[in-house]
Amino acid sequence: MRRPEVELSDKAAAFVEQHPHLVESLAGRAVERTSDTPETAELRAGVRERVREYLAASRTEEAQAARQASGQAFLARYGLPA
Amino acid sequence: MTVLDVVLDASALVVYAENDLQALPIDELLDELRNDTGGRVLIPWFAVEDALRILRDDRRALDRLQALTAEFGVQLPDAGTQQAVEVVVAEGQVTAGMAHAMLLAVTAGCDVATYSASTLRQAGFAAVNDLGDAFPD
Repeated sequence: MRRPEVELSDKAAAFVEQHPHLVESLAGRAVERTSDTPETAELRAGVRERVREYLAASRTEEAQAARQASGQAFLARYGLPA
Repeated sequence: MTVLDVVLDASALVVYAENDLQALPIDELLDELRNDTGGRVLIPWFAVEDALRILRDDRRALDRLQALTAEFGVQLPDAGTQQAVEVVVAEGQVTAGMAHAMLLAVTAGCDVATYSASTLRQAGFAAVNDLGDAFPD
């Protein structure tokens, strides 16, 4: 596969030279995220749905009130100021 | 839409950095928050210290952790928070990273995203986003 020739600015080239491991890890992460098998893609979709359900439930007034109350209880348990 | 912050504890940082299949929940959570508006990802300084001790010389994982902290920043403890962390560590029998995460979440009014939910609950902390629970049954 022919690699595209990308001309980097001086600043970008300096960053790549100074942080080879970081650039490599970011590229590797992109490959990992795009190399899902059908099984892992299905798993990822299921996890995404569960995460979205959690975020929706966390935003309710009831959840926020419960969070505040539990926070106060936590501080009181350790004798910390509210 | 209500703005929702999240605190990441050391277990979330380590799993994210190691990036195996267990990391799917933290990956998806961060992606959802990136697409959100205004919600912060709060990374406690002591949790970073805990994670660095666990990751040791895993170069690839350390780079992923570095990129994450560069993206979202790290919450440094002030003097009052440091004292509170010491109290929770001594009495709650948790690490400084877990204590800092719980205290930061109370201050911010949000949950701690963690793969160690049972440990946080045993320490008396209930506002937990159990990332291990995000895998479908």
